Amino acid sequence: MEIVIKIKKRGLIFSLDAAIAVTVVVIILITSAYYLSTASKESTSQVQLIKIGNDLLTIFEKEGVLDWVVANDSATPSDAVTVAISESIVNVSRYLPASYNALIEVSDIRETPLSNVAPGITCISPPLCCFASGCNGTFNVTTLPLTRANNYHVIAHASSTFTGKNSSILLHTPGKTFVFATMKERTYVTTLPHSFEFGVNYNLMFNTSNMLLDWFRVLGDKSYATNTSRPLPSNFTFIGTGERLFAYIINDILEQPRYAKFYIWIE
Amino acid sequence: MKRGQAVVTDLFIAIAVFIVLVTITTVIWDLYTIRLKMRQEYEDMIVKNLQISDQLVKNPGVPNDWEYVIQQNPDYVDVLGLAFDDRILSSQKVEMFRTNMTNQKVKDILKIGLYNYYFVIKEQNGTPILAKGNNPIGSFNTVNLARLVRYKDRTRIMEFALWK
Repeated sequence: MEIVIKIKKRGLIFSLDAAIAVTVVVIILITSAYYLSTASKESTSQVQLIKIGNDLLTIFEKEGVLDWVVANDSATPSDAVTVAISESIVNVSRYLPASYNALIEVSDIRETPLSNVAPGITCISPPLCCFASGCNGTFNVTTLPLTRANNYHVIAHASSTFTGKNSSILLHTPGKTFVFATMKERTYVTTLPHSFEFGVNYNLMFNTSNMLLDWFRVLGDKSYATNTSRPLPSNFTFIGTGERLFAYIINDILEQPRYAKFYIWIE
Repeated sequence: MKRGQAVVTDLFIAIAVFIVLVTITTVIWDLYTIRLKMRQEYEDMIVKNLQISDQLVKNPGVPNDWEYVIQQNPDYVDVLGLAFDDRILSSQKVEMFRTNMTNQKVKDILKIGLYNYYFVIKEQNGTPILAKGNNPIGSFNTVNLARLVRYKDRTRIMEFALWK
Protein backbone atom coordinates (compact mmCIF):
# COMPACT_ATOMS: atom_id res chain seq x y z
CA MET A 1 0.00 0.00 0.00
CA GLU A 2 2.82 2.34 0.95
CA ILE A 3 4.71 1.51 -2.28
CA VAL A 4 1.65 2.33 -4.48
CA ILE A 5 1.21 5.78 -2.87
CA LYS A 6 4.93 6.56 -3.39
CA ILE A 7 4.75 5.50 -7.07
CA LYS A 8 1.58 7.58 -7.60
CA LYS A 9 3.29 10.64 -6.10
CA ARG A 10 6.34 10.08 -8.32
CA GLY A 11 4.13 9.94 -11.40
CA LEU A 12 2.36 13.11 -10.44
CA ILE A 13 5.64 15.00 -9.97
CA PHE A 14 6.95 13.67 -13.28
CA SER A 15 3.81 14.78 -15.15
CA LEU A 16 3.87 18.18 -13.48
CA ASP A 17 7.53 18.57 -14.43
CA ALA A 18 6.79 17.72 -18.05
CA ALA A 19 3.78 20.04 -18.16
CA ILE A 20 5.80 22.97 -16.80
CA ALA A 21 8.63 22.30 -19.25
CA VAL A 22 6.24 22.13 -22.22
CA THR A 23 4.46 25.32 -21.09
CA VAL A 24 7.75 27.20 -20.77
CA VAL A 25 8.90 26.03 -24.22
CA VAL A 26 5.57 27.00 -25.80
CA ILE A 27 5.62 30.47 -24.16
CA ILE A 28 9.20 31.10 -25.35
CA LEU A 29 8.33 30.01 -28.89
CA ILE A 30 5.17 32.15 -29.07
CA THR A 31 6.95 35.20 -27.68
CA SER A 32 9.91 34.92 -30.04
CA ALA A 33 7.57 34.33 -33.02
CA TYR A 34 5.62 37.44 -32.08
CA TYR A 35 8.71 39.64 -31.80
CA LEU A 36 10.18 38.20 -34.98
CA SER A 37 7.06 39.08 -36.95
CA THR A 38 6.47 42.56 -35.48
CA ALA A 39 10.12 43.72 -35.60
CA SER A 40 10.41 43.41 -39.38
CA LYS A 41 7.08 45.13 -40.03
CA GLU A 42 7.93 48.13 -37.85
CA SER A 43 11.35 48.79 -39.30
CA THR A 44 10.11 49.11 -42.90
CA SER A 45 7.24 51.50 -42.19
CA GLN A 46 9.36 53.57 -39.82
CA VAL A 47 12.20 53.93 -42.32
CA GLN A 48 9.63 54.86 -45.00
CA LEU A 49 8.15 57.59 -42.80
CA ILE A 50 11.53 59.09 -41.94
CA LYS A 51 12.60 59.06 -45.59
CA ILE A 52 9.42 60.89 -46.62
CA GLY A 53 9.98 63.42 -43.80
CA ASN A 54 13.53 64.12 -44.95
CA ASP A 55 12.34 64.48 -48.55
CA LEU A 56 9.71 66.93 -47.36
CA LEU A 57 12.26 69.17 -45.62
CA THR A 58 14.58 69.05 -48.63
CA ILE A 59 11.76 70.09 -50.95
CA PHE A 60 10.76 72.83 -48.51
CA GLU A 61 14.31 74.15 -48.61
CA LYS A 62 14.57 73.91 -52.40
CA GLU A 63 11.26 75.69 -52.88
CA GLY A 64 12.19 78.42 -50.42
CA VAL A 65 9.43 77.52 -47.94
CA LEU A 66 11.88 77.49 -45.00
CA ASP A 67 13.35 80.83 -46.13
CA TRP A 68 9.81 82.16 -46.25
CA VAL A 69 9.24 81.10 -42.63
CA VAL A 70 12.32 83.07 -41.54
CA ALA A 71 11.55 86.04 -43.78
CA ASN A 72 7.98 86.19 -42.52
CA ASP A 73 9.27 86.25 -38.95
CA SER A 74 11.94 88.86 -39.68
CA ALA A 75 9.29 91.16 -41.10
CA THR A 76 7.57 91.33 -37.72
CA PRO A 77 10.26 90.51 -35.17
CA SER A 78 8.66 91.39 -31.91
CA ASP A 79 5.21 90.03 -32.82
CA ALA A 80 6.41 86.51 -33.26
CA VAL A 81 6.46 85.48 -29.62
CA THR A 82 3.31 83.39 -29.69
CA VAL A 83 2.71 83.01 -33.42
CA ALA A 84 2.91 79.51 -34.88
CA ILE A 85 4.11 78.98 -38.44
CA SER A 86 1.12 79.74 -40.63
CA GLU A 87 -0.45 76.91 -42.64
CA SER A 88 -0.53 79.28 -45.59
CA ILE A 89 3.29 79.21 -45.60
CA VAL A 90 3.92 75.59 -44.63
CA ASN A 91 1.00 73.53 -45.83
CA VAL A 92 2.24 69.94 -45.61
CA SER A 93 -0.96 68.57 -47.17
CA ARG A 94 0.11 70.07 -50.49
CA TYR A 95 3.23 67.90 -50.46
CA LEU A 96 2.54 64.68 -48.57
CA PRO A 97 0.76 61.60 -49.92
CA ALA A 98 -2.79 61.02 -48.66
CA SER A 99 -3.10 59.80 -45.04
CA TYR A 100 0.31 61.22 -44.08
CA ASN A 101 0.50 64.15 -41.70
CA ALA A 102 3.40 66.18 -40.34
CA LEU A 103 4.37 68.96 -38.00
CA ILE A 104 7.29 71.22 -38.90
CA GLU A 105 9.38 73.04 -36.33
CA VAL A 106 11.96 75.71 -37.12
CA SER A 107 14.56 76.72 -34.54
CA ASP A 108 15.46 80.29 -33.53
CA ILE A 109 12.30 82.03 -34.66
CA ARG A 110 10.77 83.26 -31.41
CA GLU A 111 12.31 86.06 -29.43
CA THR A 112 12.01 87.96 -26.18
CA PRO A 113 10.88 91.50 -27.02
CA LEU A 114 12.44 94.35 -25.04
CA SER A 115 9.53 96.72 -25.08
CA ASN A 116 10.73 98.40 -21.88
CA VAL A 117 13.66 99.85 -23.82
CA ALA A 118 11.56 101.91 -26.16
CA PRO A 119 12.90 105.12 -27.67
CA GLY A 120 12.02 108.08 -25.55
CA ILE A 121 13.52 111.10 -24.03
CA THR A 122 13.10 110.31 -20.36
CA CYS A 123 14.75 107.91 -17.96
CA ILE A 124 12.55 104.78 -17.65
CA SER A 125 14.20 103.65 -14.46
CA PRO A 126 17.18 105.11 -12.60
CA PRO A 127 19.95 103.00 -14.14
CA LEU A 128 18.57 103.27 -17.69
CA CYS A 129 17.92 106.37 -19.69
CA CYS A 130 16.60 106.22 -23.26
CA PHE A 131 16.82 108.98 -25.82
CA ALA A 132 15.84 109.13 -29.47
CA SER A 133 19.36 108.08 -30.45
CA GLY A 134 19.56 105.14 -28.06
CA CYS A 135 19.61 103.97 -24.44
CA ASN A 136 22.34 104.24 -21.84
CA GLY A 137 22.52 102.04 -18.76
CA THR A 138 21.71 98.54 -17.60
CA PHE A 139 18.47 96.63 -17.30
CA ASN A 140 17.35 93.14 -16.32
CA VAL A 141 15.94 90.65 -18.82
CA THR A 142 14.43 87.19 -18.47
CA THR A 143 14.57 84.41 -21.02
CA LEU A 144 11.72 82.21 -22.16
CA PRO A 145 11.62 78.95 -20.15
CA LEU A 146 14.56 77.03 -21.64
CA THR A 147 14.04 73.33 -22.25
CA ARG A 148 17.68 72.36 -21.64
CA ALA A 149 20.53 73.64 -19.52
CA ASN A 150 23.35 74.26 -21.99
CA ASN A 151 25.90 76.73 -23.37
CA TYR A 152 24.13 79.05 -25.79
CA HIS A 153 24.98 82.17 -27.77
CA VAL A 154 22.64 85.15 -27.45
CA ILE A 155 21.56 87.17 -30.44
CA ALA A 156 20.18 90.70 -30.10
CA HIS A 157 18.47 93.03 -32.53
CA ALA A 158 19.48 96.61 -31.91
CA SER A 159 19.88 99.93 -33.65
CA SER A 160 21.46 103.27 -33.11
CA THR A 161 21.18 106.68 -34.67
CA PHE A 162 24.04 107.94 -32.53
CA THR A 163 26.64 109.58 -34.70
CA GLY A 164 29.53 109.24 -32.25
CA LYS A 165 31.74 106.19 -31.82
CA ASN A 166 30.49 104.99 -28.44
CA SER A 167 27.58 102.70 -29.23
CA SER A 168 27.68 99.18 -27.89
CA ILE A 169 25.77 96.43 -26.08
CA LEU A 170 27.08 94.02 -23.47
CA LEU A 171 25.49 91.07 -21.72
CA HIS A 172 26.20 90.79 -18.01
CA THR A 173 25.73 87.53 -16.14
CA PRO A 174 26.89 86.88 -12.56
CA GLY A 175 30.69 87.19 -12.71
CA LYS A 176 30.95 87.51 -16.51
CA THR A 177 30.53 90.01 -19.32
CA PHE A 178 29.86 89.01 -22.91
CA VAL A 179 30.63 91.23 -25.86
CA PHE A 180 28.61 91.20 -29.07
CA ALA A 181 29.89 91.00 -32.62
CA THR A 182 27.99 92.34 -35.61
CA MET A 183 26.29 89.52 -37.44
CA LYS A 184 24.39 91.45 -40.05
CA GLU A 185 22.61 94.75 -40.20
CA ARG A 186 21.07 95.49 -36.78
CA THR A 187 21.80 91.96 -35.53
CA TYR A 188 24.50 91.21 -32.97
CA VAL A 189 25.60 87.90 -31.49
CA THR A 190 27.72 87.13 -28.42
CA THR A 191 31.24 86.10 -29.34
CA LEU A 192 31.24 83.43 -26.61
CA PRO A 193 28.44 81.14 -25.39
CA HIS A 194 26.96 81.60 -21.93
CA SER A 195 25.98 78.75 -19.64
CA PHE A 196 22.20 78.85 -19.18
CA GLU A 197 20.11 76.91 -16.69
CA PHE A 198 16.94 74.96 -17.33
CA GLY A 199 13.76 77.07 -17.20
CA VAL A 200 13.51 80.83 -17.03
CA ASN A 201 16.88 82.53 -16.49
CA TYR A 202 16.62 85.74 -14.47
CA ASN A 203 20.23 86.77 -13.81
CA LEU A 204 20.83 88.45 -17.15
CA MET A 205 21.49 92.14 -17.67
CA PHE A 206 22.01 94.11 -20.83
CA ASN A 207 24.24 97.14 -20.79
CA THR A 208 23.59 99.53 -23.65
CA SER A 209 25.47 102.51 -24.76
CA ASN A 210 23.56 104.69 -27.21
CA MET A 211 21.66 101.73 -28.63
CA LEU A 212 18.01 100.75 -28.85
CA LEU A 213 17.31 97.07 -28.30
CA ASP A 214 14.30 95.46 -29.98
CA TRP A 215 14.61 91.86 -28.88
CA PHE A 216 16.99 89.08 -27.95
CA ARG A 217 16.99 85.33 -28.47
CA VAL A 218 18.85 82.40 -26.89
CA LEU A 219 20.16 80.53 -29.93
CA GLY A 220 19.48 76.82 -30.27
CA ASP A 221 17.00 76.14 -27.48
CA LYS A 222 13.63 74.60 -28.31
CA SER A 223 11.79 77.32 -26.39
CA TYR A 224 12.82 79.81 -29.09
CA ALA A 225 11.69 77.47 -31.89
CA THR A 226 8.25 77.61 -33.40
CA ASN A 227 6.13 75.11 -35.28
CA THR A 228 3.08 74.54 -37.40
CA SER A 229 -0.14 74.05 -35.50
CA ARG A 230 -1.07 70.45 -36.37
CA PRO A 231 -1.43 68.44 -33.15
CA LEU A 232 0.75 65.37 -32.68
CA PRO A 233 -1.27 62.15 -32.34
CA SER A 234 -1.88 61.22 -28.72
CA ASN A 235 -2.28 57.46 -29.28
CA PHE A 236 0.57 55.02 -29.81
CA THR A 237 1.13 55.89 -33.46
CA PHE A 238 4.78 55.85 -34.49
CA ILE A 239 6.08 59.38 -35.09
CA GLY A 240 9.15 59.67 -37.29
CA THR A 241 11.46 62.62 -36.68
CA GLY A 242 14.51 64.15 -38.29
CA GLU A 243 16.06 67.53 -38.90
CA ARG A 244 17.89 69.54 -41.51
CA LEU A 245 20.30 72.43 -41.15
CA PHE A 246 19.57 75.34 -43.44
CA ALA A 247 20.75 78.91 -43.86
CA TYR A 248 18.70 81.87 -44.95
CA ILE A 249 20.46 84.37 -47.16
CA ILE A 250 19.05 87.88 -47.42
CA ASN A 251 20.66 90.64 -49.50
CA ASP A 252 23.73 88.41 -49.97
CA ILE A 253 24.19 88.24 -46.20
CA LEU A 254 24.11 84.85 -44.54
CA GLU A 255 21.64 84.68 -41.69
CA GLN A 256 22.38 82.38 -38.77
CA PRO A 257 22.00 78.66 -39.59
CA ARG A 258 18.77 77.15 -38.30
CA TYR A 259 17.37 73.67 -37.85
CA ALA A 260 14.11 72.57 -39.42
CA LYS A 261 12.68 69.51 -37.73
CA PHE A 262 9.84 67.27 -38.84
CA TYR A 263 7.47 65.03 -36.91
CA ILE A 264 5.67 62.74 -39.34
CA TRP A 265 3.02 60.10 -38.83
CA ILE A 266 0.32 58.14 -40.67
CA GLU A 267 -3.27 58.92 -39.71
CA MET B 1 -0.12 -2.27 -9.43
CA LYS B 2 3.34 -3.76 -9.21
CA ARG B 3 6.35 -1.49 -9.00
CA GLY B 4 7.89 -2.88 -12.23
CA GLN B 5 4.75 -2.09 -14.25
CA ALA B 6 4.62 1.49 -12.94
CA VAL B 7 8.23 2.09 -13.96
CA VAL B 8 7.59 0.76 -17.52
CA THR B 9 4.50 3.00 -17.92
CA ASP B 10 6.57 5.91 -16.66
CA LEU B 11 9.21 5.14 -19.25
CA PHE B 12 6.66 4.93 -22.09
CA ILE B 13 5.15 8.26 -21.13
CA ALA B 14 8.60 9.83 -20.89
CA ILE B 15 9.60 8.49 -24.32
CA ALA B 16 6.30 9.64 -25.83
CA VAL B 17 6.69 13.15 -24.41
CA PHE B 18 10.32 13.21 -25.53
CA ILE B 19 9.41 12.17 -29.10
CA VAL B 20 6.61 14.74 -29.28
CA LEU B 21 8.93 17.49 -28.01
CA VAL B 22 11.76 16.50 -30.37
CA THR B 23 9.29 16.47 -33.29
CA ILE B 24 7.85 19.88 -32.37
CA THR B 25 11.34 21.32 -31.83
CA THR B 26 12.57 20.00 -35.19
CA VAL B 27 9.53 21.36 -37.05
CA ILE B 28 9.76 24.73 -35.34
CA TRP B 29 13.53 24.84 -35.86
CA ASP B 30 12.97 24.28 -39.59
CA LEU B 31 10.23 26.89 -39.63
CA TYR B 32 12.46 29.42 -37.91
CA THR B 33 15.36 28.70 -40.24
CA ILE B 34 13.08 29.42 -43.19
CA ARG B 35 11.70 32.55 -41.52
CA LEU B 36 15.19 33.78 -40.64
CA LYS B 37 16.29 33.27 -44.22
CA MET B 38 13.22 35.10 -45.49
CA ARG B 39 13.81 37.92 -43.05
CA GLN B 40 17.47 38.21 -44.02
CA GLU B 41 16.39 38.38 -47.65
CA TYR B 42 13.73 40.96 -46.79
CA GLU B 43 16.23 43.10 -44.85
CA ASP B 44 18.64 42.81 -47.76
CA MET B 45 15.88 44.01 -50.10
CA ILE B 46 15.10 46.94 -47.78
CA VAL B 47 18.75 48.02 -47.61
CA LYS B 48 19.16 47.68 -51.38
CA ASN B 49 15.93 49.58 -52.01
CA LEU B 50 16.95 52.39 -49.63
CA GLN B 51 20.30 52.73 -51.39
CA ILE B 52 18.73 52.60 -54.85
CA SER B 53 15.97 55.12 -54.09
CA ASP B 54 18.53 57.46 -52.48
CA GLN B 55 20.79 57.08 -55.48
CA LEU B 56 17.97 57.80 -57.92
CA VAL B 57 16.58 60.90 -56.19
CA LYS B 58 19.83 62.50 -55.01
CA ASN B 59 22.42 61.84 -57.74
CA PRO B 60 22.73 62.69 -61.42
CA GLY B 61 24.53 59.41 -62.09
CA VAL B 62 27.94 58.63 -63.56
CA PRO B 63 28.72 60.05 -66.03
CA ASN B 64 26.80 63.20 -65.17
CA ASP B 65 25.32 63.46 -68.64
CA TRP B 66 24.62 59.78 -69.16
CA GLU B 67 21.26 60.59 -70.75
CA TYR B 68 23.13 61.97 -73.80
CA VAL B 69 26.05 59.53 -73.73
CA ILE B 70 23.74 56.52 -73.69
CA GLN B 71 22.45 57.38 -77.17
CA GLN B 72 25.91 56.68 -78.63
CA ASN B 73 27.04 53.97 -76.23
CA PRO B 74 24.34 52.16 -74.21
CA ASP B 75 26.99 50.41 -72.07
CA TYR B 76 28.53 53.64 -70.84
CA VAL B 77 26.47 54.14 -67.69
CA ASP B 78 28.32 53.30 -64.48
CA VAL B 79 25.90 54.68 -61.89
CA LEU B 80 22.23 55.34 -62.52
CA GLY B 81 20.86 58.61 -61.11
CA LEU B 82 17.80 60.59 -62.14
CA ALA B 83 18.34 63.89 -60.29
CA PHE B 84 19.86 67.11 -61.48
CA ASP B 85 19.68 68.42 -57.92
CA ASP B 86 18.83 66.85 -54.56
CA ARG B 87 15.24 65.45 -54.83
CA ILE B 88 14.65 67.26 -58.13
CA LEU B 89 14.37 64.81 -61.02
CA SER B 90 15.57 65.63 -64.50
CA SER B 91 12.82 64.95 -67.01
CA GLN B 92 15.42 64.06 -69.70
CA LYS B 93 17.08 61.49 -67.45
CA VAL B 94 13.73 59.99 -66.46
CA GLU B 95 12.62 59.81 -70.07
CA MET B 96 15.89 58.22 -71.19
CA PHE B 97 15.71 55.76 -68.29
CA ARG B 98 12.16 54.83 -69.24
CA THR B 99 12.60 54.49 -72.99
CA ASN B 100 16.25 53.68 -73.71
CA MET B 101 17.14 51.11 -71.08
CA THR B 102 16.07 47.49 -71.01
CA ASN B 103 14.94 45.97 -67.73
CA GLN B 104 17.99 43.71 -67.75
CA LYS B 105 20.30 46.70 -68.27
CA VAL B 106 18.71 48.51 -65.31
CA LYS B 107 19.09 45.42 -63.13
CA ASP B 108 22.74 45.09 -64.16
CA ILE B 109 23.55 48.74 -63.38
CA LEU B 110 21.70 48.66 -60.06
CA LYS B 111 23.18 45.22 -59.26
CA ILE B 112 19.83 43.65 -58.41
CA GLY B 113 20.14 40.58 -60.62
CA LEU B 114 18.26 38.35 -58.15
CA TYR B 115 15.22 40.61 -57.97
CA ASN B 116 12.65 42.26 -60.20
CA TYR B 117 11.92 45.95 -59.95
CA TYR B 118 9.05 48.35 -60.56
CA PHE B 119 9.57 52.09 -60.88
CA VAL B 120 6.65 54.49 -60.94
CA ILE B 121 6.11 58.25 -60.64
CA LYS B 122 2.69 59.25 -59.32
CA GLU B 123 0.69 62.34 -58.61
CA GLN B 124 0.02 62.96 -54.91
CA ASN B 125 -3.47 61.49 -55.27
CA GLY B 126 -1.90 58.22 -56.47
CA THR B 127 -2.49 58.54 -60.24
CA PRO B 128 0.53 57.06 -62.05
CA ILE B 129 2.26 59.31 -64.58
CA LEU B 130 4.87 56.89 -65.84
CA ALA B 131 6.14 53.44 -64.94
CA LYS B 132 8.93 51.03 -65.80
CA GLY B 133 9.68 47.43 -64.87
CA ASN B 134 7.36 44.61 -63.90
CA ASN B 135 4.43 45.29 -61.60
CA PRO B 136 4.71 43.10 -58.46
CA ILE B 137 1.04 42.08 -58.44
CA GLY B 138 0.59 38.89 -56.44
CA SER B 139 4.14 38.81 -55.08
CA PHE B 140 4.46 38.19 -51.34
CA ASN B 141 8.08 39.26 -51.20
CA THR B 142 7.97 42.93 -52.16
CA VAL B 143 9.68 45.99 -50.69
CA ASN B 144 8.20 49.23 -51.96
CA LEU B 145 9.62 52.63 -50.97
CA ALA B 146 7.95 55.94 -51.75
CA ARG B 147 9.92 59.18 -52.01
CA LEU B 148 8.81 62.78 -52.42
CA VAL B 149 10.41 64.43 -55.43
CA ARG B 150 10.06 67.49 -57.64
CA TYR B 151 9.32 66.35 -61.16
CA LYS B 152 8.31 68.69 -63.96
CA ASP B 153 7.89 71.57 -61.48
CA ARG B 154 5.50 69.75 -59.18
CA THR B 155 5.89 67.69 -56.05
CA ARG B 156 5.23 64.05 -56.92
CA ILE B 157 5.76 60.61 -55.47
CA MET B 158 8.42 58.31 -56.85
CA GLU B 159 8.07 54.67 -55.89
CA PHE B 160 10.65 51.98 -56.37
CA ALA B 161 9.73 48.38 -55.60
CA LEU B 162 12.04 45.39 -55.39
CA TRP B 163 10.33 42.03 -55.52
CA LYS B 164 10.89 38.35 -56.01
